[in-house]
This record gives sequence, structure tokens and C-alpha cells, in this order.
Amino acid sequence: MRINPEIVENLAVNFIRTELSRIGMKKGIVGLSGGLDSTTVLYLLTRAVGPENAVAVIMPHRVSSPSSVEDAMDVVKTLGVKHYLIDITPMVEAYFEKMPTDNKVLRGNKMARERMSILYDISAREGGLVIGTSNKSEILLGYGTIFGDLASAINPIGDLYKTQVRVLARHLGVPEKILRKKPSADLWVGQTDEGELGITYQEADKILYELVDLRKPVEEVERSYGKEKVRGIVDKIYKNHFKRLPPQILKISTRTVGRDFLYSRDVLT
Amino acid sequence: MNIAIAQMGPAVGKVEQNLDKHLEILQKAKDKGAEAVIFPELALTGYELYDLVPDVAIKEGHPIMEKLKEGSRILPFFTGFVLEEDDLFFNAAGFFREGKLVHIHRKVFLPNYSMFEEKRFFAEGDRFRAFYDGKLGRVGILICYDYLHPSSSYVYFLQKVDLLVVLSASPARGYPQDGFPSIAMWENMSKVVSRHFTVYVAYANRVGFDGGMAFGGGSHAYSPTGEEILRLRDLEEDLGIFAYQRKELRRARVLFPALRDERPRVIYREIRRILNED
Repeated sequence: MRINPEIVENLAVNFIRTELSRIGMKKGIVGLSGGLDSTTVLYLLTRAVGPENAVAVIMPHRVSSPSSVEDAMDVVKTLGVKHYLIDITPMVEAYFEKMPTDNKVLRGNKMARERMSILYDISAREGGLVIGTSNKSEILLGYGTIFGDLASAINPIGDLYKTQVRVLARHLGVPEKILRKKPSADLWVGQTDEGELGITYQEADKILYELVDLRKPVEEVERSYGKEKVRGIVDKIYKNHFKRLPPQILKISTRTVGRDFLYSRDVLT
Repeated sequence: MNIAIAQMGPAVGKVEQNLDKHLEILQKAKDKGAEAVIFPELALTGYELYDLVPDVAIKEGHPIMEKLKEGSRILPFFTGFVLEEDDLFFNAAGFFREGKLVHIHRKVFLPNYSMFEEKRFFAEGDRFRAFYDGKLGRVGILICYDYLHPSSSYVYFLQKVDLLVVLSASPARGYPQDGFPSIAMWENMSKVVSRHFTVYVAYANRVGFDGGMAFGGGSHAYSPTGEEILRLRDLEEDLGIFAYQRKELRRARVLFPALRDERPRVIYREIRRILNED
């Protein structure tokens, strides 16, 4: 699963440029957390359209780690892109005053969807496309909020595992402190991806690669990595499959959207 | 004779726009000294068509077909389009020359695995017929997956073709190291086919994106001794010309008399035996 980051960079830059021009837009909008994935995507976007057409939106909540905003601001300055800094605490907490809960996942999902809502608002104001920042590891494991951080118009890193994104990021010149950061959705204090998933990306990516890309039988992968770990991953893949799909539509007619009404995403563009 | 490979990226369903692009490239190739041009698979329509197939199909008398024919007055060319015949739709390639559609190949091997679902949308062709052209000699046309079955090239080999023209829309895939493994796969095929069937191979792949799939480019030509004589860029639009020489064909066949030594009757008898065992 080694990649040549230069080839991937060129392809991703070309992809972003092509898709924007097909839709007749110049700008791309990225929700920038200060983490590895969104920083990488902002670097790619900036190379594709120039800093004048790359827009970063930084959306901390009061539980976000203070270093996240600092790191995000440093990236914005380094790249020279336009940015919005919007504290989502008031909107999110206004809701939870009416609908109180201590459930971290409920709170985290609300925050992710608040950010999505802001990104799409800014995309309309700026006349730009929301560029997705979910990687292949997250998408396959379903480690994201549906209609939240998983929402985007185009995603240049969705077919790269987390460990591959890191290789690409290093090649792009993403700052060392971001490369070394423990991956985190930063939805509550002390949250880390690997803590929540119960496995390191290093290991999860190898297992996913063997199962998904190489299509090795589950039993064979279990022999290499242990039954429990592999089972855990397989369960997540299927349990969260709905997050990767448009909503299910009850078929009544002979021609139903999503099933037998089929066109390319790029049709007539 | 100078043959150009036009590595271009058509837009899905925008036939008029893609046609204009053909005409532009034909003129450009002519200015560069080309005497014939090869466009990629479905260059007229884009690749990821799905339910658009019947809407972009053309047949004799269709205004787009007539414009393609007119275009061949600039230079003779090969291109890919959706052919309609008896209410069936084929992934087809045509050779156009001096205002006429001279020869049609209908894709025989429709890929239906992984990201491909051509059998859902196209009817299957059922023949590999070589044709003769005064300037090009004996020519066989293959479309993409046709070429990954060496038996297709073999059938043309038995028809003594001089030039194999491959029109392709191959997505770049596999995590890239030196380059995309899918691009290397086509080159390996051409190296073997050109050398062992002592033919020129001209492989025209498209570039650009359809629905997130990046087409790989890497179009190339190989001489009948198995040498790479043209290699276009990966993943980007490009136009290149190679020299197609009758004397090289003769030299290759003197060096390696593959066709003379071929024993098609043995092959035929064995295939018949295998089929009859069912």
C-alpha cells in the first residue's frame, strides 16, 4: 500500500481543478480543524486553485483543544488563504439548552452537523464547492457523522488510508507538529480516534487494505492479525455501510432514482 | 507514414463539444505533419454513460455521423462512439476516411467487473474483421478490454494485419509507486503483442475524469520488433506522432517469422475439441 505522493498530488490537484471548472466555480471551501486530513486537503486545494480561491473555515467549540485553532491559524497564514473563524459554541449550546444531554456522541454529532451547515452556507456565499476531508480508513470504518463531517461535494483523499494521507502530507510540506499529532475528531476533551476505535491506524489500515483492496478472505486476514481485531473491523464496515450511501428509496415505479435511473456524477458538465 | 495518437478527455454526454474537439485536434495533427489520427474509446461521448447510452447513439444518416465523416476530409481517423443498429447499442470504433465511414468494429469483450458495467448498457460485438486501407495496409481495431484478451490480437494476426489500433478508456488504478500499475499493464501487453505478432500496435487511451475515475493516458506505439516508438504522458492531454513504415514490418518478419510458423489448424482443432467436450 505504498504510494508515490508526487503522482497522487498531481492527480488530486488536477481532479479538484477539473471538477470545479466543470461546475463553473473557482473556489473551494475546506473545514479546517488543524488536523492532518483537513490540512492536507487545504494544501491540495491551494495548489489547485491558488490561495486567492481557497477558503478555510475554522470552527472551534469550547471543548476543542486550543492547539487545534492555533495550528489551523498557522496553516492559514503559511498558505495565505482566506479564512473564517467561527466559534460554534453559541449555536450548539443554544440547542442543548433546550435539549439537554451528557451523551458525548450526541453532542459530537450535533457539532459535526453544525460545522457542515456553516460550510454549505459559506460555500453559497463564496460561490465555491465544499471539499471533503474524510479518508478511506474513516469512510470504511464509518468513523464519521452522516450529514456532518462526511458531507462534501468532492473528496480528493477519500481513497487514501490515514497512513497514506500522512505520506502525502509530508510530501506536501505540512508542518511537522500536524504530522505528529494524534488523530482526533476533537469532539470532546481527550478524544482520540485510535482510543475510540480500539486499534491503531497503522494496524487498521493494513487489515482494511487486505480485506478491501486485496479481497483476501476474512479467515486468512484473521490468521495474520487476530480474530478479535479483524472481526471488529469487519463489523464496523457493514454496520456503518449506510453512511456511505444516499438514502434508500422505496421502489414503486419502473425507474427509481439511485437504482435504475443512472447517470454519471459528471453528466453533461 | 505518420500516425498521430490523440490523447484527449471527452465530456460525458456532450457530443457536440466532443465533436468540435475532434475537429480541432485533426487540424492540429495535420499541421504537425500527421496523416492519420487515432482517438480513444468513446471519445465522441465520454465513458461513464449509463442510461445516456441510447441518447448519444448515432447511426448512418445521423447529423453527428455526417459531421464525423466530413471531419475525415481533414485527415483520416479512428474514433470511438455509440453505434445504434436495429435498436441495439454497441460500444463501437470506426475508421473514417475522405468523407466516408470505411470500417466499424463493435467491442466484443465488454468488461463487467469491478468498476465496469458495460454489459448492462451495451450489446456485444461478435467479430474481429481486419480491413485493408491503401495507406495503412491491413488493420485490426480493438477496443480496450478486447485487447486484454490476447486471443483477439491472435485472430487479427491470422488475418495478417500490419497495424493493430487499440482505442481505450482505462481508468488509472492501483496505488501508484513508479506509476499506476494499470498503465504499465497496457505497455506490457503492447510489448508482447507487437513483438510476437510482428505488428505495429497503436494504443490510444483517454485522460480526464468521469465521476471521480481518472483515466490514465500513457498512450503509446510499438514497432513490429517490440520497440516503444511513442509514449505519451500519463494522465494529461497529449498528442504525439509515430512513423509507420512498411519496411519495418518486413524487417521484423524476416527476423522473426512468427506468421510463417503459426499453425492455426492445430489451434483450431484443439479449440474445437475443447468446446466439444462440454
